[in-house]
Amino acid sequence: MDFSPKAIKKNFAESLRDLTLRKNLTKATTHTIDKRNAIKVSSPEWDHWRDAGAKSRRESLLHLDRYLTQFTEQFQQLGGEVIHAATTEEARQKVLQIIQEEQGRIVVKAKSMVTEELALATFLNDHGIETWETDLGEFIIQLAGEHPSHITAPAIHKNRLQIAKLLHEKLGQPYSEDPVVLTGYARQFLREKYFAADVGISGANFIIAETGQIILVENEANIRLSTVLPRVHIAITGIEKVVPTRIDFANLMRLLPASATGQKMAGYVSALTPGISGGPKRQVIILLDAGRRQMLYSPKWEMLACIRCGACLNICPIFNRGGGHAYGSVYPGPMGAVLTPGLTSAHAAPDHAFASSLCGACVDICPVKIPLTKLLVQTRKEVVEDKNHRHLGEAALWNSWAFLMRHPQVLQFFRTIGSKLPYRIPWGSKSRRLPRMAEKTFLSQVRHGQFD
Amino acid sequence: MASLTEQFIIEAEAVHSVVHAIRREALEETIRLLVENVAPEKIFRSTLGLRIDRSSLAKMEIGISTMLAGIADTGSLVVDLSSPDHLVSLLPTRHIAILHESNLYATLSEFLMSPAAPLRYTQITGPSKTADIEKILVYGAHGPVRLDIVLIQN
Repeated sequence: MDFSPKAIKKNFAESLRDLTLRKNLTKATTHTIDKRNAIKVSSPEWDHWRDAGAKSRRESLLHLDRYLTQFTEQFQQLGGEVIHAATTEEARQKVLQIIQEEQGRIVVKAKSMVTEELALATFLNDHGIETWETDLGEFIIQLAGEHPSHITAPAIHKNRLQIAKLLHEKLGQPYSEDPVVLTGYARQFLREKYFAADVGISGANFIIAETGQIILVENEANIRLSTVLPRVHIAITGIEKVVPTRIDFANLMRLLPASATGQKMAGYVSALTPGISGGPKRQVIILLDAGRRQMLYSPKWEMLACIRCGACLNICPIFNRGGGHAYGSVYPGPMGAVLTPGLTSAHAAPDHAFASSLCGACVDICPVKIPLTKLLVQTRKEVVEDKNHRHLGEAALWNSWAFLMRHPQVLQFFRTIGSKLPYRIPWGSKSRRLPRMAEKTFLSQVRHGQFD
Repeated sequence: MASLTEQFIIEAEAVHSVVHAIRREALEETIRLLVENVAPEKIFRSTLGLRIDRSSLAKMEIGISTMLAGIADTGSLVVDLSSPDHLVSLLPTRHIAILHESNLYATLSEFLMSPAAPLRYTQITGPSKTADIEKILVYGAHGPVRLDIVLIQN
């Protein structure tokens, strides 16, 4: 499969034939959705939390600069450094610069989707800096030389036999299919790296304006180790992750773990600022734009409310059939179908918004009430209105349809011809065919008293 | 409505923490039983005021430390990152957390709004875990494999 948004159609055609993938994926997503539903059902306050979460995310976006300034002041006052990066390339260069200033040789990385936008691990390794993904799923993906296929469960497309073979080959450990043993291999390998690393790199789930805290949510403790043991910590996050207060954050924590993994609370939730005992001497946060402001001032601004829980992926019938890799972009699923063209341009990912049946399951499950179907339709509109990148065949087809609908006599003419055809009308699909047309139209049957 | 303590125990055990609710005078005996069969040089107890050295801490079988607070509705513990104690909850293979009932809060928001809330902290809910392989839950991903909570009741 190609890692390019434009390859989405070709990729889907490929992954739809991969039944192992579909089985691995559906098993995992169903499991997570069931656990999420159990929490929702047993929490009478759920709708209230969801309303409050939706409101507070929009408040952040409506006054984004105010909250970013407040965060910056707080974080700097505590001794931290704040860097703004307009593009992913700028962010990569800043990270490299800091590592070089610190004469860093080894980097441990926490799981972060923003660093995937930067393709940071590959970039640093290419620049001679030994960089390790420490989240188990990401570590597996790194060893396999792949991209994550899900924003919270990166190795969701792999089953344990595939992982067993991979760890055996890459780490030279005895072959085992036991997840406990496999997890132990990663633990043992990465423990040494945390202690040897000069720099730890993480994302941020939230940053809190009133206090200057960086919030990191995890289960494994790899983020704690990566952000506390090395002498430098660099956090990279999108500008939209700011929340006004600790109360906004506490409320969002009702929603995030439940929606992401079906847990009432994640294993470790850390609030970090400079001054951690035994922790880094230097703490830097990079606030990344990379298309976010462009979205903020567009009809798709609500997409930036996203807290990256991945629930819309888990529930999406399209995602469950194609898998994350098929999208060819960092962000897959319904949120990815809006975000990918949104952060770049409609024609950079022209087919993403069409990889949806608009069934609306994503809208129902979204913990912060992002109107995903509305945003998908808006994206479709932008794609078809982009005159320079028009799909001519499709435009012609719709124009003909519109013409027929405006001219009932012409439509009637073609209908008569159609009903006389001895074969079915081909329409470009190998797997499904149109039924033969009825000899008499519904209207003529009514006229001839067929239903009296 | 269950008391805070009851709720804390239910929620903590639901996330695989092992809770030992005891009276103050039973503390030493409880800890002695928990560390039975572990060599004394493999146990680090930060309450004894020892210097914390992180590489030797990583070799420890058991770390014992006192928690700043507990959060009842999620069965969570809170450690202050401004004190070196936090490494005791992270590096050894097992963690024994001592928590006083009087430091229990109903919810995260209640704790965050209290004067006890530090600026830098980690909220711990259960032992370290992962489900990255086929969503099968495995304990002891990169942090403690087992979490015992000794809850001292008034």
